[in-house]
Amino acid sequence: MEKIKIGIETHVQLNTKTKLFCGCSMKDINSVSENSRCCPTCLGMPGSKPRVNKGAIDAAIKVALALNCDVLSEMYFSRKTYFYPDMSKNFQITQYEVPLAKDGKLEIIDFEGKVKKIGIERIHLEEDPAKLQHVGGDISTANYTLIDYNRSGIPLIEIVTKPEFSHPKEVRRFLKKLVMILEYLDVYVPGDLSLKSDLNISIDGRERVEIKNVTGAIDAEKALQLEIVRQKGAIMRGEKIERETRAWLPGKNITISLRKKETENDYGYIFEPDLTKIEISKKWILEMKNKIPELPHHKFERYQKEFDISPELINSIIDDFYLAEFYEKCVKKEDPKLVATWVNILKKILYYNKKSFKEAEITSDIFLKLLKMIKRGEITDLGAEMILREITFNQQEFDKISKKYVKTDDIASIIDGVIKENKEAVFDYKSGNEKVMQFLIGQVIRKSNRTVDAKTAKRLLEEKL
Amino acid sequence: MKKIINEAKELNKKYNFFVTINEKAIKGIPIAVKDNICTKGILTTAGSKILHNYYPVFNATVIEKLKGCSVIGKTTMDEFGFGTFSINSAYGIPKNPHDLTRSCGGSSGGSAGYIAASKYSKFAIGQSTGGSITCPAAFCGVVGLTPTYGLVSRYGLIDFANSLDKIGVLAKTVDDASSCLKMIAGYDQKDSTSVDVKLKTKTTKNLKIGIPKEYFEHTDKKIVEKIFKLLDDSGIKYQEVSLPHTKYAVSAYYIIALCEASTNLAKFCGLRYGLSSNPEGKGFNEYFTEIRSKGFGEEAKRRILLGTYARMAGYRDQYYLKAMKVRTLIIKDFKKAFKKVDILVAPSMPTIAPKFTEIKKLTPLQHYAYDILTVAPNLAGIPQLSVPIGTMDKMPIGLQLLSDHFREDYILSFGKEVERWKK
Amino acid sequence: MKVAKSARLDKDIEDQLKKILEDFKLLEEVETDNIEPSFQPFEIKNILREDAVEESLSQEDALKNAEQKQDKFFKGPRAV
Repeated sequence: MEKIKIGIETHVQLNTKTKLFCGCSMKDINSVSENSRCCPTCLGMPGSKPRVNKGAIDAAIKVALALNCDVLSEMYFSRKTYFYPDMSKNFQITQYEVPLAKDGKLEIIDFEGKVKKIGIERIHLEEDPAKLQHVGGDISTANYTLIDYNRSGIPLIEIVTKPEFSHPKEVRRFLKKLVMILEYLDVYVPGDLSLKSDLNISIDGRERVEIKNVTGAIDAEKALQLEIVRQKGAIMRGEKIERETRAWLPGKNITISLRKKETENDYGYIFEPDLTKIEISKKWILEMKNKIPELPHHKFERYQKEFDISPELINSIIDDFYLAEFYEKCVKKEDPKLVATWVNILKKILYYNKKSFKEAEITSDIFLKLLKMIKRGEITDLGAEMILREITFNQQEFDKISKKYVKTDDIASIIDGVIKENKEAVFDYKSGNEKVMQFLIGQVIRKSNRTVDAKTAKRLLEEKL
Repeated sequence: MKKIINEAKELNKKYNFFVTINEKAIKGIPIAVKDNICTKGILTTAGSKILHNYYPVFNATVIEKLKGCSVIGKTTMDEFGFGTFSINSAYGIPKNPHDLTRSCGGSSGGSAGYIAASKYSKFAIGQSTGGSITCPAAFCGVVGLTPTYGLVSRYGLIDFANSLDKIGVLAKTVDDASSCLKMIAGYDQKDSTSVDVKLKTKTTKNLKIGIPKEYFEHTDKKIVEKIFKLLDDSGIKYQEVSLPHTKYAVSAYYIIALCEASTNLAKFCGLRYGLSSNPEGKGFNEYFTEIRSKGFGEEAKRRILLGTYARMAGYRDQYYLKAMKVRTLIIKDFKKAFKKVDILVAPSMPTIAPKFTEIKKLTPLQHYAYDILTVAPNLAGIPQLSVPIGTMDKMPIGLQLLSDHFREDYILSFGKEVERWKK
Repeated sequence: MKVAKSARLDKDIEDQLKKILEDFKLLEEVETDNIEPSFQPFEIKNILREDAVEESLSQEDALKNAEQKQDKFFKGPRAV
């Protein structure tokens, strides 16, 4: 097995109301028409000046604390100068000399199934560039580029890890865990362009290859796996692995070479003279610490202690911050195991409809009402599930909907009805075909609108036949 | 107003003070503005070809604050402020109203020359990074007021060096300069380096005067003699002080200013505004290089290269960081002096305005050396007032008054006294 | 020259620059071991902006000064 060393730099888009250095609104920024959320500052117009968004610093401090970093007491901004068509000023305001935080760690399960701590080198704030559209080809063959500056100046947190990953799987796990924490902190905009990583991989001590701009956890794993394969192939052909930067093309699942490392871009960092140093007091840090909710790994440990439910079920619930909140509310009034089972089913319904819990309409009151009906035996499990499917997005209709599935007293007539309507199947069964019973049970369930459960149906059918 | 515009046009034909004359200006106090300050809807070039078509969609804060004023024109200047003689202008070189063969000084040459020549205008807006208000004020025989860094908002000023740039005033008298400053000074939340300090313009304090000996060592002997004669005739007491790091000021200034400037000018690349060409079929390196080579003058290119070099990895410590540390020492020199005295008095410029023919023979280093008397106060961000004190060889000379941060009241009060001296 | 390439200019004025940079080395004389750099003339600190929305430019104003544009996009060269 090769010895693999991977380090990543992940950029997370913050969900502040405004951009990092100007007051342009971030609302629906990816869907408004091009170049309509810009101002002199984010367009880099001569004469414009940047102003730092306090909300972005608040968010960055929360992230730093959640990742166990040391938050520095003084923060500075730097100018990183380089030329590129997506840059509004051809320098990026970032934090080079003095980042916001450093020396943190995040625990993951490594590729061998053991617990491993990934070191966080640094966390800092920087601004996003504009969006490019390559016309007449891909990035390297286009005739020209169309540029939309709506995204120019969007606040990003950059999280740089130490090169401590040993396998692409670990990177995926790290990013998934990171995303969960970010959602818990409510600093993050889940979506297409929100989590982009640059991946640095070195195999068997060979030259480092950088894969730029990979979106999401799954693509990160894919891109790295592909790079390992590509390098294997190159070695077999007798080629040398060169230090280079590659771009990930998600649609085509390949990487292409952008530039070979002859000279690294010399960014000529200077202190950003249009901004001031920012002191991060202990008071400010404490204020942010108090805004951090119980984080996923702590929740997991607590659920294990307090509730008698399986680790898989716990993970399923805590995966979504608001679902966990909902769960905790319900277990105050109801059995944790029962609630867990049904919250899990709720989650499946949400997943099927491609919605998060936040987008659902159901309250704990209605949910608990449903659970009570289940406990009292008024409805079957299947019936409960049918009700849940409908009320998740429409809970006002609970009374009307639940009535449809209440167990009927008149089971006998249903049984009789099924037997009458399925004479052939009954004949089959009586002739010794046991398997047909399943079909008949199914018919009873269907005819009763799921108010009769399978067990009861089987018993009554067997009695009758 | 019409006669003011007509005068401006006449003067412009003779002296090249303006890039643009705003004929739409109707009423109010006429104000000429250096062309690196954004005026909404009015061409703003910063003296460079690369902005030959830039019509800002916003006003600089100082323009908004000039209530009751009408911008009558944008004045000629060294491209982006790069120069001491306004010869690096892509829109004509302003000529000294006292002698057409001589420079107005720079980089606010157009504003200073216009105030010297105009019958009507009392003040104009200029800007200084290393001496670009004091120099043309001295050469043209007008008052030049460079406020404390941060007192006047830089929002809308096209940057040369952000930690050094200050917007200020060229005026006929000290009172005129004071009136104008009162309008443009003030805290602006659009500029993160704007300082919320109340402007003081008058004091009744008995001011202690200091003479920084190093400044007189670098100045033409005849100018030195004249200044001392005026001081002695006035009867005021003064004491000698030393600013020992003066000789390092030019190097420290140029390194810092050019490091910052080289990043500020990176944005000019043929996108979003300014000079451009058809980008189709071109890679970005090719396109940017094409536009920047065409659009920047020689001095701008020189400064960008120097500034880029001085902050490159491997040279950054030796140049950029070193210069920033020397800056600290220069500031300390001033702070130490201001414990002993309230005002420092020195010549504004080492010579009278040179002829254009003389300037042509100068090497870049000789150009930079002309700034020796103004760069240190600009590095320190202290307020500076240049007051005309008569002539030498028929050309104006200026006396500069320096005080501690936010002590405009000291230099303005003493400046009025200087105005009363028999010259 | 590498610096020229780095600054995207085509001018070759190497000798002139070398002379100027040599001159600037004068600063090496100055003892600065325990001196902090002054990135600003005096300390200005903790200037922050509240996270509150301000009006953006209209699309028209944003594009007004661009000679190179297509529909409502800015037009630029190839990104490689």
